[in-house]
Amino acid sequence: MRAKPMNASRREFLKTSAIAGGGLIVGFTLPGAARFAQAAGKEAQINAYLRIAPNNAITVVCGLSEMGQGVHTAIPMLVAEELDADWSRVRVEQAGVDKAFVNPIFGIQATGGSTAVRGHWEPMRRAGATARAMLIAAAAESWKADAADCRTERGMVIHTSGKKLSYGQLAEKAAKLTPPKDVKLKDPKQFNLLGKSGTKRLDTVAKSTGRAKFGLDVYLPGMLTAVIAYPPVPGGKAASVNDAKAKAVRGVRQVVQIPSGVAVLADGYWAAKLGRDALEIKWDHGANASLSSEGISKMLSAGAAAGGAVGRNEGDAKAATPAKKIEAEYEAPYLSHSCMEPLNCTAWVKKDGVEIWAGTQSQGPAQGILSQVAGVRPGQVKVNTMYLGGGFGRRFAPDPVIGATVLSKIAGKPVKLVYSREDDTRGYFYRPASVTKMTGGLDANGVATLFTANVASPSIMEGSHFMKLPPDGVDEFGVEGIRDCPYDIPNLHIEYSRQEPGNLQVWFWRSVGHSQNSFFLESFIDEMAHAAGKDPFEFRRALLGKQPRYKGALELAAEKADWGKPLPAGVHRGIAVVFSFGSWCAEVAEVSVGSDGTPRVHRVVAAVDCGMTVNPDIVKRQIESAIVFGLTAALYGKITFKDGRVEQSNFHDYRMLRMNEMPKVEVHIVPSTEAPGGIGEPGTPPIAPAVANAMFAATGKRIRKLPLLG
Amino acid sequence: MSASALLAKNRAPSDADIDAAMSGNVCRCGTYNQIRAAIKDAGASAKGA
Repeated sequence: MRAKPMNASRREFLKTSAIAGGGLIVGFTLPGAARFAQAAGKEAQINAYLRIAPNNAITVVCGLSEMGQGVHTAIPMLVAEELDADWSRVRVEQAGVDKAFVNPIFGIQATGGSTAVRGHWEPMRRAGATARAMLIAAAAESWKADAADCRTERGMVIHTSGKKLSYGQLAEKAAKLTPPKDVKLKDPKQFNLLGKSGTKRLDTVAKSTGRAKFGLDVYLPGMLTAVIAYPPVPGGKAASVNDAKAKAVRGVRQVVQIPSGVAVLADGYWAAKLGRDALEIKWDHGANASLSSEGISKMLSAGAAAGGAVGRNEGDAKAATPAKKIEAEYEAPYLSHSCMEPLNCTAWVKKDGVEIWAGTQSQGPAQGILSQVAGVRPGQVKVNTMYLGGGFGRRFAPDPVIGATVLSKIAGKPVKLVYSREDDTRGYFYRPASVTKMTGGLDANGVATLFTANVASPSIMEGSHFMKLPPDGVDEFGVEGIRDCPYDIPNLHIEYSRQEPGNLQVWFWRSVGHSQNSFFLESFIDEMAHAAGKDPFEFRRALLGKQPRYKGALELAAEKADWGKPLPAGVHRGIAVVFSFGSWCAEVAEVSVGSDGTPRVHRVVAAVDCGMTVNPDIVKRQIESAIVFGLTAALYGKITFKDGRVEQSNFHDYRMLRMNEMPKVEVHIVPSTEAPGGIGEPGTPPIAPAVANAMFAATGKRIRKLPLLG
Repeated sequence: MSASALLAKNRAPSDADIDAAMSGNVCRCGTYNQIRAAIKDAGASAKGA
């Protein structure tokens, strides 16, 4: 999921190429073109991403998954901008799996890593611009005029003479033209939609009226609903199963053992759940029967003490002799994603292939995986991507789609596999725990001269099953947010020690490694500022002289939060700045701490430099969302183990922030003409350290272990 | 449903009223401030009706 800059060969994928069948597409060879044409009906298929109806309705086909982050609005905006479309006539449609929709940053069709706008900023604009050129050419041909005498405005081609034709009138003719190879994209100064607030989301009405279909809303005739009894201890197996009572539950149709556990298939969820409750299973707990959080902490702490593979080395940390040296050990726990829509997938294994309906972030890989599960060709796997009721990385994992497909194959019927809240909370795929030991050194003037960090954590790369640790042995997700320490410190040394307590399945969690490493680094920099007797904002600022965009975000947040000015009695500020997923985000938290040590976050002021924006309203909402996500984890989030079992199960013991705890949030965007950065994740990393630093300012007590409430 | 019940009793709820009525609802996407604003908007538009 690492975001790589788009290279020229990736851009080649947008090379214009004609295909057989009368229609023309912008894109590349498109095996599914016939399907698109069929779906288009009377609409003209201008390219893989765009259809125009005679009544001027424009349909943008989007291959990315909408999980609330706004991609089903941002992608159409990119196309509409260069097309000069009438935005009020633009609608969006979810694409199937097709090469046309490969995420240029990942090289697979998937949504995550805050890549949507970064990856599609140019290709989708080019798709719009190419279509616009074809519509102009069609108009010019109709008028026997010169294309250079035509311009476009809000869905119309207009000739200098004043003649007009709408895109709907021109679409059929335009679709038959050869797409131009090189179209000029707009100068950002010419943008009508991009970067301007006020463009409403395309999914709001469907979601407000309940018409939007999420995975859990899928019902097929003859469908069975399945739940699985999972081993209570990770790595455990069912030694014996007595399913007599389960099968006696009304509505239960089948009980089967599959690799992940014992599945109960029934006429509906409740019957399946009652059937599962009635199962009598003797579990073989395997090697993890005594796994405990205490043991995990010890293992990680020992790993951090011993050190490991060198991730970065500058100057000579060992030889440095600072006037003042501080040391600290920090710890972060495992975390569950806890998407609000319970995980689910509906699968139907038929004679000639597989069809699934799933709110998934990774429909491209799912197609390949399911072709293996069902023993069919990838082209025989049809993925219907539904709306996702939250993703946060969890819906990148294939376990629900594999489980549903395995069960449908066994049952010979469509099967909807549903995870209860408890199944989800106890279902692993966690943000890995980490222990990190750091040292910092200051010279006699309080200037930082030394920073070292030894990170110990499980490897997401290895756990992902689609990546491997690189030859240097450093997991990029294990160290991101700390290895890239931006502060100008001459002696700097980072090590990574891979530790796999219980061989637990770990996974990508919104902002991934930054979610804990930024807490470690930005808290420890605060400790260094305090040790130097300096203001934490000024201390950071002085070390960011060579990092203008870090500095810009930091300064804007401080300015908007009135850093240094008085606050009401008992309220204190903390600050943090983090670069992640191509964007720089600084946050100032205003916090008071009650006599029992409970923090109250009153206000968060954020400043983000994410380059040029597509939809600044969505940018602000994403930062606010990311702050709530990070604040929830910072205050409450922890998955702990005792006797091999996960101790948390539902929202009563895996707490979410509630409305009465919600701070006021202000988001400021740094004006920029740079290429866009990501926006789904960068708001999450700074909030935990900003709040922890404010708590330190309030109490003088440094909290080095998450969650902040213990 | 919680918001509707609140507005049925109180067309112009304060932030504290909204917090009290809505704290049983969990939002994972972080839209609490927007929910507050939406409840106030809905109350204001219902007043005119």
